[in-house]
Amino acid sequence: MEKLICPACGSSNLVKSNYHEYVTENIGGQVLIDKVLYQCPDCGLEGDFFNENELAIEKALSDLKNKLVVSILDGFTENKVSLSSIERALDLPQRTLTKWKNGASAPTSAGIALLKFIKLFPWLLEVAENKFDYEISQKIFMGNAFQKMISKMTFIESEFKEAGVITSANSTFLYIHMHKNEDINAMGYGNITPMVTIS
Amino acid sequence: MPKYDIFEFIRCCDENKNDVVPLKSALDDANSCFGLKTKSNLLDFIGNNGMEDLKFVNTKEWENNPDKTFKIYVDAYEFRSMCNWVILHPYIMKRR
Ligand SMILES: [Zn+2]
Repeated sequence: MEKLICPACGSSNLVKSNYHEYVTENIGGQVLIDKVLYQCPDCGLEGDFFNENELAIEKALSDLKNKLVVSILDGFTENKVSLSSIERALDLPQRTLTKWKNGASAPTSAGIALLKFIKLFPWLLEVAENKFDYEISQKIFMGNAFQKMISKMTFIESEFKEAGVITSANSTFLYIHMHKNEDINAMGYGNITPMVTIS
Repeated sequence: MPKYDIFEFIRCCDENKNDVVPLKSALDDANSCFGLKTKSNLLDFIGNNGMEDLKFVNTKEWENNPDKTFKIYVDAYEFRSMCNWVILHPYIMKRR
C-alpha cells in the first residue's frame, strides 16, 4: 500500500481520524455524515488531504436537494397551485416539474435556485403570469411589501379601524383606516386614508 | 511583495486540481462564507476567477515548516465576492 505523506512537509507520520459533521443545504435542511481528517504531527496542518470526503458530501447535498424539490412542489399542490400552471407561467415544458417531483429527471442547479426563489417569494409567479412586465411587477412587489409591512406594524387599538393593501390594474395602495380620519374618502372604499400609492 | 504568483495558483485551481490541497480551515471558511461545500466547488470558484478585487495583504515565513533548510513562505490576500470581503487563507501546493 502506498505510504500517505503530508502534502505540505512530506512527513509520513500522518494521523487519520474520523468525525461526524452536518452538511447543510441552506433551506433544504441538514444531514449528519461521516468524514475523515488527516493531521500532520510534524507541521500541524490538517485536512482531507486525499479527497475522501468529496463523494459523501456530494451525495448528502444531492439527497437534501431532491427532498427540498419534492417539498417545495408539494407545497404548491397543497396550496391549490397546479404544477402545470406554474410550468405555463414560467414557460417550462409541460410535465417538467412533475418529472422533478417523481425523480424521473433531476433539476439543474439553476432549476433548484428558481424553485427556492418561488418558495420564498410566491408572488414571483404572479410576475411571470404577467409576462414579466416591469410596471406590473413593481406593483406586485410593492403590494406584497406593504402587506408584510402592515403585519409588522403596531397600532393603537382605540384609534385603529383597519389597514390593508388594494391592488388594481392601475395602482397599488396601502391604507390605514383610523377613527380620527373618517372625513377622508378614497377610491370608494369608505373612509380610508391612502398612506402610500404606487400608480 | 508576494513570494509566489497568485495567478499560477488560480490557473492551477482550474487546470491541475490534484496539485491543490485546501486545508480544513480554508474549506470550513469557504463553506460558511460562500456556501462552497466541497473541494471541487472551491477550486472551480477560484479557477473561474471568482475572487474579485484580489489584494495582496502580506507575506511571512511558514513558522511550522519542519524542514529548516528550505524556506517556505505564506502569501495572504483579501478579496471580495458579491458583498463579502474575506482574507484568503494560506494555501499549499502539493509537492511534485
Ligand atoms: Zn506536514
